[in-house]
Amino acid sequence: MDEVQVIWSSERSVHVVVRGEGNADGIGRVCEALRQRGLSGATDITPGAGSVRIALELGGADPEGVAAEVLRLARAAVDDGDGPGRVDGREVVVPVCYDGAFGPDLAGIADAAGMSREQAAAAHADGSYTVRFLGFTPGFAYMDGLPDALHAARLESPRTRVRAGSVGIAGGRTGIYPRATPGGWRIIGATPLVVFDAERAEPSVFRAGDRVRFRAISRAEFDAIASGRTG
Amino acid sequence: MSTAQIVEAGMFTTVQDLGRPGHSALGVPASGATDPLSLRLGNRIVGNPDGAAGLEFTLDGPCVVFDQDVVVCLAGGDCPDAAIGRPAGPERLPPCTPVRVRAGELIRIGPVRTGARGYLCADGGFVVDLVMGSRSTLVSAGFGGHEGRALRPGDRLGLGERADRPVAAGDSGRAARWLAGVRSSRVLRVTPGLHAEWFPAPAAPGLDRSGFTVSDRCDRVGVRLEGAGVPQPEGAGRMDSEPTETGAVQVPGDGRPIVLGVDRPTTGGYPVIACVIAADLPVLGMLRPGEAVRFEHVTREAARKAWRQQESELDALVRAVASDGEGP
Repeated sequence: MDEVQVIWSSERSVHVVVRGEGNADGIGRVCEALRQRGLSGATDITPGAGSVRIALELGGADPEGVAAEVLRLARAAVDDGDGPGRVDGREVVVPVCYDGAFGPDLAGIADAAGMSREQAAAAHADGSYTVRFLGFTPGFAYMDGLPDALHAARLESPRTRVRAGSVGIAGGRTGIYPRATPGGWRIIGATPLVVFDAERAEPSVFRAGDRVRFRAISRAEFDAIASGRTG
Repeated sequence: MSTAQIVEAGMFTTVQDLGRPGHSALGVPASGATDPLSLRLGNRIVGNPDGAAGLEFTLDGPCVVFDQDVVVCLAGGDCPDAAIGRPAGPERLPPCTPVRVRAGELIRIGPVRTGARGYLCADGGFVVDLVMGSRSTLVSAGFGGHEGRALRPGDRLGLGERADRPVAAGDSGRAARWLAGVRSSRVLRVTPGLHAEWFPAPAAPGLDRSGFTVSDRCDRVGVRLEGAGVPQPEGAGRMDSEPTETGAVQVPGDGRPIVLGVDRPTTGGYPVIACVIAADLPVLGMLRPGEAVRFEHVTREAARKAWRQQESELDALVRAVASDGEGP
């Protein structure tokens, strides 16, 4: 079995690489196994699309030994299905307004799918998604589960500014911009939720492994939630 | 509580401590000082713990005035024009030296002549709210530090309780020379990166032989290098996003490497050929646009040894400074 591999990515970190179909599940299992084990000398555990990064304590006594233990735990979690397995993520429901003002790229995606704008919005809202990992900017969740008909390449030329809360599509993923940034995902709507706030006790609405559902809302409801949020 | 007032902000000045490691699963980079060695040394010289927050400035430093007497230390890149406005006239502010500044005396740091950045540490440390365990500013995400942004004229920052530790006295020249020695290196030692094996063999000697120049696109997020392009591996364009590392050497489609900095995105979609060793991250944090730099592969064991060596030199230096220059 060579599905699971540990690669040194610096003298102070290793990546557990999980290959093959279903590796998203394997990565969830590896993260959970490492967290539950509370591996001493591992200071930060970060999932990505095909790997998990484990930062090792600088000056730790036996980094090579910790790496060997990481490999053993990862193999057990993925190959044998031993260990804690993948803890079912929480379910997070996110209200999204698919109005044209919020979703400049919805019409194009609908056209490509042979749908009306309303049908495309409904298809997005009816999907069932899983947060694969977070990255790019604090709180940006990369979610799997986009219906095939809605898959769309990134914009050729990224926008210089995407408003906070914008819901985008890139390839087979959907995601939400936590704050106004440049961005190349195709924007189909917006949520009034603040998905990341570093000063909250729980800064991020999303964590890797969470299941996500979208709930289509009207412009009026968007405004009501947004104004309630600010006071 | 005594306060510091920013009179002039310099080019890009932020509050930084040693960062907030441990949150990258939420997309939050560690941030903190780009040259942690200089910040730690400055803190130790004024008697602070290593992790007290200081002001990190880039290429051109701020002007600061305190409303009470305070001991400060300037560390990092050379700031030959740095001075304190004493009643009798300007007095030079030497590097790596504890200097008592009276209330109302203006500290004017001026340009950073060698190295990209400098640090102003003050007895007690600069105090802003802790955000996710750190006082460091992450400007790209608008949080931490003072209002999540670079400092502006008129900003006021509190200072913490003075640490109950002696302020170092003695031959600070030695500390300044040591830091200058560290940052004058134009070699970034690396170990193979996550995707090193994807590159056409032999990637490591090829990278080591190429010389690069630091481009203008050089900030806390990353340092983009110019030079002969590094060939990309087959299929790199289809790569998905994987967790990144401070010091990771990414190779985008144009073959010009980007070395990720402390404010890096926590995941990235470019193949990573190598990673700068911990002991050379202070060198990376001090690079200026236009400077020449090259890479040199070392073993993981050599990388760890270099880090231990640097730590013991730092400890010995501060002991030496504290005991009036009588050190090894």
